[in-house]
Amino acid sequence: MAVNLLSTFILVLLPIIAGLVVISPFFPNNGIKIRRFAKGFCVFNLIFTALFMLFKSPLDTGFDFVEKFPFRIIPNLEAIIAFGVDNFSIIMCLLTSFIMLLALMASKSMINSKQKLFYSLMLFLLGSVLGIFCANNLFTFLLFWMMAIVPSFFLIFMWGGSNARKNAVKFMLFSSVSSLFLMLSVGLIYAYCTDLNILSDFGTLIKKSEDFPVVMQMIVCAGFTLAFAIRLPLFPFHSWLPSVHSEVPAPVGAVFAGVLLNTAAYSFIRINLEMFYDVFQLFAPGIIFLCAISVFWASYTAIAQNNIRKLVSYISIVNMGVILIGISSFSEYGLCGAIFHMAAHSLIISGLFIGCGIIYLKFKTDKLELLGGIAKYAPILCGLMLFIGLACTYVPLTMGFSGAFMSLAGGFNSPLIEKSFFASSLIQLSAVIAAFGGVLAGVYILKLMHKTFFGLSEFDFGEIKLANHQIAVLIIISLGILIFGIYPMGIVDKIGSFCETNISNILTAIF
Amino acid sequence: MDIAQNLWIPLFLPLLAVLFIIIPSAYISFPKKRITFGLTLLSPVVSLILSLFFIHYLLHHPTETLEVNFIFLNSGAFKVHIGAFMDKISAFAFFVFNVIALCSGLFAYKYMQDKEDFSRFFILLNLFVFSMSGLILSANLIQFYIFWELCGVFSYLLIGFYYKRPASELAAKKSFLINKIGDFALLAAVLVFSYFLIQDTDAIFYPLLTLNDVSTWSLMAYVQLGAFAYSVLCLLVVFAAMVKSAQFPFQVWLVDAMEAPTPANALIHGALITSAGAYLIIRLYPALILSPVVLKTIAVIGIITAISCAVIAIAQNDIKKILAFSTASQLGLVFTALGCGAYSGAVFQLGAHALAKTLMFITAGVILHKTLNRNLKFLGGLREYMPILAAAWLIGVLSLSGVFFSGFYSKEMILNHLWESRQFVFLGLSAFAVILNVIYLFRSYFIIFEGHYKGSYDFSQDEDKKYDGIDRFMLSSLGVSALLTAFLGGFIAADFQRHIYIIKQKFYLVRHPELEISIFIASVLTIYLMWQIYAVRKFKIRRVRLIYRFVVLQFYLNKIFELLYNVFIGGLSKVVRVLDKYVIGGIYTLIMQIARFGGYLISRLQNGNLNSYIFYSFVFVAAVLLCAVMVYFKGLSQYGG
Amino acid sequence: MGNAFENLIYFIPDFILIFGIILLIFVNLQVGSKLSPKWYMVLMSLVLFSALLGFLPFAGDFLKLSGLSHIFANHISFTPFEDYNIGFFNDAIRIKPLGVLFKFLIISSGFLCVILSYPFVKRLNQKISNFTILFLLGVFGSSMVVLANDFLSLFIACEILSACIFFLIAIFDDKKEKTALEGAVKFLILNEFASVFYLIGISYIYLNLGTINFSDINTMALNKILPSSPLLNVAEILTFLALTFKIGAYPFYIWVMDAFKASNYAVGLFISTTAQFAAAFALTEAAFVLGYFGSILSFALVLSSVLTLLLGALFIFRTVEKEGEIKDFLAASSILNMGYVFLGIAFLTKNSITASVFCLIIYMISNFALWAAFMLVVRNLRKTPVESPYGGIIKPGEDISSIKGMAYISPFFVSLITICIISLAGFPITAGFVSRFYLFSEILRSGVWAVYPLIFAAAAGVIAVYSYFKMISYMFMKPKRLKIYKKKLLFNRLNVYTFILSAAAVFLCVLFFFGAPFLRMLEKIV
Repeated sequence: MAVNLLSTFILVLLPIIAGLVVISPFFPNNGIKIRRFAKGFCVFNLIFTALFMLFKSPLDTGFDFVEKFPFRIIPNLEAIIAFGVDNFSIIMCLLTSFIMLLALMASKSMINSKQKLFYSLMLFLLGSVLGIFCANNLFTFLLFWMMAIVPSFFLIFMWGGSNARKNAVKFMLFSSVSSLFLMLSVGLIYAYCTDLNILSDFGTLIKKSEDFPVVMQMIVCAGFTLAFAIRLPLFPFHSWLPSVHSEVPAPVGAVFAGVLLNTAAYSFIRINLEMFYDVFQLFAPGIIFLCAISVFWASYTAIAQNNIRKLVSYISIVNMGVILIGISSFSEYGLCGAIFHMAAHSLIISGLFIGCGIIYLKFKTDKLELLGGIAKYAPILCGLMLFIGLACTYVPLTMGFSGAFMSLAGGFNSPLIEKSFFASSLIQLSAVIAAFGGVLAGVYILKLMHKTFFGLSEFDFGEIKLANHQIAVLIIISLGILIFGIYPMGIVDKIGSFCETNISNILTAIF
Repeated sequence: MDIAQNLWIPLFLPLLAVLFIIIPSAYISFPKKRITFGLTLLSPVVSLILSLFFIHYLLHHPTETLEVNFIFLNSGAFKVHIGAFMDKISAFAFFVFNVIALCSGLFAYKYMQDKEDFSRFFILLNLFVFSMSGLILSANLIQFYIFWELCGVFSYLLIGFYYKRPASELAAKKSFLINKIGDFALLAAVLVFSYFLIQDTDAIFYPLLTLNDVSTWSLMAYVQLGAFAYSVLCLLVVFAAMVKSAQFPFQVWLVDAMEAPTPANALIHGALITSAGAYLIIRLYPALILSPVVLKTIAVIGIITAISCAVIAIAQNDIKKILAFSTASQLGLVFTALGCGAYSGAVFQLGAHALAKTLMFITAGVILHKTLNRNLKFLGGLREYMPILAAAWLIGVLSLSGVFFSGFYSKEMILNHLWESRQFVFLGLSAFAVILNVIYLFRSYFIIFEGHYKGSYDFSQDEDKKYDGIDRFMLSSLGVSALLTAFLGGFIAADFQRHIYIIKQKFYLVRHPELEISIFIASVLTIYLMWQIYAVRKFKIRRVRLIYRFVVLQFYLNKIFELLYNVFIGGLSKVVRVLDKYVIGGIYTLIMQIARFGGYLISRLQNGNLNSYIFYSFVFVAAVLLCAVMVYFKGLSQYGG
Repeated sequence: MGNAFENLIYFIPDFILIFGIILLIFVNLQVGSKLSPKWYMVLMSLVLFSALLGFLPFAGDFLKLSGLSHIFANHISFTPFEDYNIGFFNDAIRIKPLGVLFKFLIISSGFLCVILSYPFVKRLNQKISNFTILFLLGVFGSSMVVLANDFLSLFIACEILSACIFFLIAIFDDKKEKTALEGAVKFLILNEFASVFYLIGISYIYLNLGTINFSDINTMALNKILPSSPLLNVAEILTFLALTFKIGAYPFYIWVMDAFKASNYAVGLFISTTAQFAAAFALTEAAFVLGYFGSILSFALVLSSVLTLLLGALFIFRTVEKEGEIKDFLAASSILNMGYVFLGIAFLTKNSITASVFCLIIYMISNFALWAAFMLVVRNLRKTPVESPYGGIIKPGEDISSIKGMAYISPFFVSLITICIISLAGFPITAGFVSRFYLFSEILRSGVWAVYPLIFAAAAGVIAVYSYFKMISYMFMKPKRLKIYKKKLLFNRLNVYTFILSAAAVFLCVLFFFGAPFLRMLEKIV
C-alpha cells in the first residue's frame, strides 16, 4: 500500500538537501531568489506531507511507511537510522511544515540581511524537526533531537537582538543539558538490550519495554522526563525561553515556539507515555503539579511584563503547561485534548509572534508604555491580533478552547485519581490552578491588547499600510483558528483512534 | 422533516448575516447601512415567528420536548454535543429574547446612523444575538458553558466599542475579567459534574450533562459526592450565576458596562446577559433542589442585591446607571423567588422585567440621542415636549414597580407563593424591596418628565415634525416593547403557572387578595410622596453627606475590587516577576558562577611552582592507594575481581 | 611463523626511521651549516613518508577486517592475520594488530606535524638539525611504545619519547624570556616523578607475579592462577596512575598547561598528537593486562578520569571566558578529550576500550584541524603593534580575541572550524556525536551503576559544549579589530593548513555516515 514515492526517508532528508542547496556557493546570493526557492520548497513539503495523510488510513494505529538506512551507524550497538510514521506524527509533520511555510512568508519583510544563511538554517531546522517526528527508533530520535539544536543556536545568534550572543549561549547550555540526559537514557537502553529487532523500531520497543528491570526503567524514565521538561519549559527550567524568544525576529520566534516546543511534548507522549507508562504514572501527579505551577507562574510573570514579545513567550510556557497536564493525566480525552492543543498553541503563538513582529517593525519599539492607540492607524492588524489573542484565552468556538477544555477535563477526571488519595488531591488541585489560568490568560491578553491597540496615542502615525504578505499570514492563521475552532472533529477524529488504542492498553497494563 | 430540525435556523441565521456583512467588506467596502440593518433584523423576525410556532406546538403536546444534536468533540467516553433543545421554559425565554433583539435592532439603526464603525457595531450585535440564542437553546451544560463564555466575550467587545475613550476601554476590561472569574467557576463545576458521567458506562448514549433531564445525572453526582461536597459544587454554579447576573458584589461590572452604545445596553445589559445567570439557575433547578442550603443562599443573595441596589439607585443621577441598578435589584427579586421556590413567578418576572427594561432603555436612548446628556440635573419637564416618551417611560415604570401592567402579575405570583409557603421574613423584605423600587423609579419619572427643562436642547425645531421628532424606526421599537410590557401579563399570566411549574409546586393559582391590595395601596402612597418631593418641590430632603457619598459610590465596591486586583493580580505578578528573574534565572547564573569559581581555583593550582605540582599529585596517589588497601582488607570483595 | 627473515618485514617502518635518523646525523656532520632549514624539512618528510609506505603489506588485512575487502579483493595480497602475534628479543617486543594500527597513526601524525611546522621552525636556522634528529627520535620512540610487550620495554620507549619532548621544548629557548627552558625542565622533572611511581609499581608486580611480561600475565590470568594480595592492588593502581602522566589525566595533568604554553606551536602539535597517541596506546595495553585484577582498580581509574574531565571542562570554560591564549584552549581541550578516552579505558571492558580508541581517533582528526587552523591564524598575525579602530594600541597576541570576527574575513575558513568544533562538542552530522554516544552506551553496558560517574562526565561535557559554542560565537561576532592580519587572503587560499582543515571536516562528516566499516575493524583488532 505504501507508494514507493512516498517514503519518510525522502520527507526528512529533502529539507536538509534543500538547505545544502541554498547555502552552496552555486546558488545566487540575492534575497528574493532564495526566499522564493525556500517558500516554494515549503509549499511542496506541505503537499508532500498532506499526501502521507491521504494514504494513511486513520484507523490502523501502527507505524507506516517504515524505512531503514541500508547499514548500521554503530555495528556493535545495532544503532540504525530508521523512519516510520503513524497518525500522530503525520499530524505533527503537517503542522510543522505549515508553521514553517507561514514563518517564511512572514520573513519577507523582517529578514533583510544574510538571507542565504537564514533560509538554509531554517530548512535545516525543518529537516531535523521532521526527523524527530518521523524517527522510528531511539537512536534516530536522539540524532535529530541534537541536530535541531545547532541550527537554532545559529538562528538565535545571528539574528538575535541586542544581547544575542548571551541568549544563544544560554540556550546552548540548557539544550545541551537536556540532550545530555537524553543521550544517557538512550545509551542505557542501547546498552541494556542488544538484539536488533527490539531496538530497530518503536513498535516492538513499546511492547518489550515492560520487561526491562524496574531500576533501569526508573532511571531511564527520569532521564527522559528531565530532558523533555527542560525543552518543554516546565516550571523550574523555563528561564531560557523568554530571553531567547523575545530577542529573535518574529518568523524565527514563531518557528521556535510553534514547532520546537511541540517536539518536547511529542516526545513526552511518544516515549514517556507510550513506553515507560508504569514508571511514568508514578511521576504523573508530580508532573501535573509542576505544570500547574508553571501555568500559574508564567501567567503571573506575563502579567508583569512590559515588553510585548517577552509577554508572548511566557504565553507559550502557559500553554505548554496545559498540554502536559493533558498528556500526563493518562486519560483518552486528556491525551486527545493535549494533541489538539499542541496544534492550537502553535498556530496561536506563531500568529501572536508575527503580529508582535509587525508591530515592532512598524513602530520600532516593543515596550508597552510607548505603544498605544494603534487600532486607529492599523485596524486590520488590530482586529486579527484581537481575534488571535482571544483565541489564546480559551474562548470557545476558537481553536484554543477545545484542546484546553479536554486537557483540563483530563486533569479533573484522570483515571489516576483512584490510585491513591495523595495523587488524586494533587491532580485535582493542580487542575483547578490550571483552570484558573484561563482567568489570568484574560488578564495578560487584555493588558497586551489594550496597551498596544486601544486607548489614545500621543503621536499621529498616519495610515499604517500593512504589506499584503503580512496580512495574508495573519488571515490564514485566524482562518485556521476559526475553522478548527468551530469544527474540531477535523483533527480529533484523526487522532482519536491513536489515543484510544494507546490509552486503553496502558490503562489495562496499569490497573 | 420533523419540527426539531427547524431549531437550527435561529442558531445560524445571525452567523449568515455576519457573513454577508463581512465578505463584501473585504472586496468592495462595507455594504450600505440599510442592507446591514436589514440583515440584522432578519434573524429576530424569522426566529420570532418560529418561536410562536414552537410555543403553539409545545402547548398542544405538553409532554414533548424538541431536541437536536451534533457531535462537537468526541474522544472515548468524553462526548461533547452542540445542539438545540426546546421545552416550555426555553420557548418562553426564546420568544422574549427575540422580541428584545427586534426592538434593539430597530432602535440601533437610527441611533448609530451618524457614528463611525456602523457595520462593526452590527457585526458584533449579530454575533451577540447568535451566542445568546445558542445559550437559550443549549441542549447540555457544556454547550451552555461554551455560549456563556461567548456572551461574555461579545459583551466585552460591545462595551469596548468606543475603544478610543479610556473609560469604555477600562469598563470593557473590568467586565471581561469579572465574567471570566464566573466562567472559571462554571468550568470547574461542569468538569466535576462530567466526572461522574464519564465513569459509568451506560451514560454514553446521552449527550454529556444533557439539560433534557437534569435530575438523572445530578442525582448520580449527589449519590457519589455526598451532601456537603454536592452543595459546594452547586454553590460554584450559583457563584457563576451571581457574577453573570450582577448580584450584589458583582454589579460593579454592569454599572460600568453603561459605557457601551445604548442599543447594545438595551439588548445586552438591560435584559439578556444579566438574565442568563438566572436562566442558568432555572435550567439547573432540579439539580439545585437536592440541597436546600443552596436554595437558601440564592434567596439571601437575591434579597441583599434587591435592597442594596435599590438603595444605591435612589442616589444616582445618571439615567443609564439608574436602569443598571434597577436591573440588578429586579434580578435580586428573581433570585429570591427562585431561592424560595416560586419557580414560575421567577420565570415570568424574568420575562416581564426584560421587556420593561428594554422599553426604558430605548426611551433613555432616545432622550440621550436628542439631548446628548444623561445627567438628571439637566433634564426635566420633557412631558410637554415629548409626551410619547413620557407615556412609554410611565408604562415601563408602572410595570417594573409591579403597580400595573405585566409587572403586577409576576410580583403577585412571587408574593403569593411566599405568603403560601409561610416564608414571612422573605415576604417582608421583598415587599420592602418592591417599595424601594417604586421610590427610585417614580423619582426618575418625576425628575425627567415633570418640572421645567433645564438642558440646552431647544425643542422648537421638533415642533412641526410628526411624533415630535422621533424617528419612525425608533418609534416602532418603542411601540412594540410598550405594547408587550403592558398587555403580555394579562394574556398569559392566567395559565402561565399551569405550564411552567416545578413538581413540588403545590399551591399555584391560589390568590391572596388582602396581600395584593395592601401592596397596591402602599405603592400608590409612595407615588404620591414622590410626586410631592420631586414634581411639586414641597418637601426638602436634607442630604446626609457621609451616607450619600457611601451610597453613591456603591458602598466603595469599586475601590475594593481595584484593591483586590492590585493585591492579588498586579502586586503578586510583580513579586513573581522578580522571583522569576532572580530565583529561576538565578539557577543559570549560579551554574556560571560555580564554573567561573572552579576555573579560578584550578588556575590558582597552576602557579608554576614545581613543588606544589608534585605535592598535589602525590597526595592524590597516596589517598587512592590508601583507599585501595582499606577496601581490600575490608573484604568488599563481593564487587568481583 | 615463517623464518626470522620473513618476520622482519613487519619492522620495515622502524628500520626506515632508524636509517633516516642515521642519515640525518651524517648529513649534519658533513654539510650541516650550508644546508637551509627547508632542506632539512624536506628530508624529514621524505623519511617519514617512506616509513608510511612500509605499511603496505598490512593494508590488505585492515581492509579484510573492515569488511571492505570485496572492493580491493584482487590487488592486495593477504598475509593471514592470525600469525601476527610474533615475539622478538625473547618476547620483549610483540607485534599486535592494534599496535600496527597505532604505529600507522603515529607515523602519519608525525608526517603531518612536519608538514605543518615549517614556518614555525624557520627561525632555528643552525639548530634545525638537532630539531630534526630529535623529532625523528621522538617519532621512533612513540612507535616503539606500540611494540612493547612487557612493562620494562614500555618504560624504555616512554622514556625515549619524553626525553625527546624535553629537548624539543628546550631547543626553542631564546635569550630574552626563558619560558621554553623553564617549561622543559618542569616537564622533565614531573616526568621523572611519575616514572618513579611506575618503576615501584612494576617491581611490586614482579614481586607478586614473578613476571612483567604481558603475554605471560595474560596466560596466568586465563588459567586463573593470579594471586590476589593488597600489594598487587597497590601495584596496579601505581603503574596505571603513573601511566596517566603521559595522557595528561588527573593526578599528573599539571604539566599539560605549562608544557603547551612553553613549547613552540610545532612542538605543541607533536606533543598533542603523536605523543598522545603513544600514551593512549600504553594505557590500552596496561588496561588489557591489568584489566583482570578488577573493580578496585577501575574505581580509582573512573574517579581520576571523571576528575580529568571536570578539570578539562573548567579549563576550557576559563580560557574561553577570559579570552586567554589559543594554546591554553588547545591544551584544555586535549585534557578534556583525553579524559573521555581515559574514561572509556577506565571501565576496563573490551567494548569500552574500543569505544575509547574510536573516540581518540575522531578527536585526533578534529585536533589536527584545530591546530592547523590556529597555526595559520598565528602565522598570519602582524608582529608589530596595531592601533585599533576603537583607539589605543593593541599588540596582536596569540589569544582568542584575535580570532574575533573571523567570519567577516573568510566565512569558508570559519565554517570549517565550526564543523570541527561541533564534532569536538559531540553534536550530530559529525562523527563526534557517534563516538560520544558509542562511548556512553558502551560504558553503561558495564552496569547501571555506571550512570552516576557518567552524569559527572556528561556535566563536564555540557560545560565544554557551552564554551565551545561560545568560542564559535566569538568567531561570528562583529569584528572590532580588522587590521591585525598580514594577508587576509591567506585564509581563502588553498595552502597546507586549509587543506588539512577541509580534509578533516569532510572526513568527520563522512565518518558519521560511513563509520561502520571502521568500527567493525576496530572491534576485531582490540
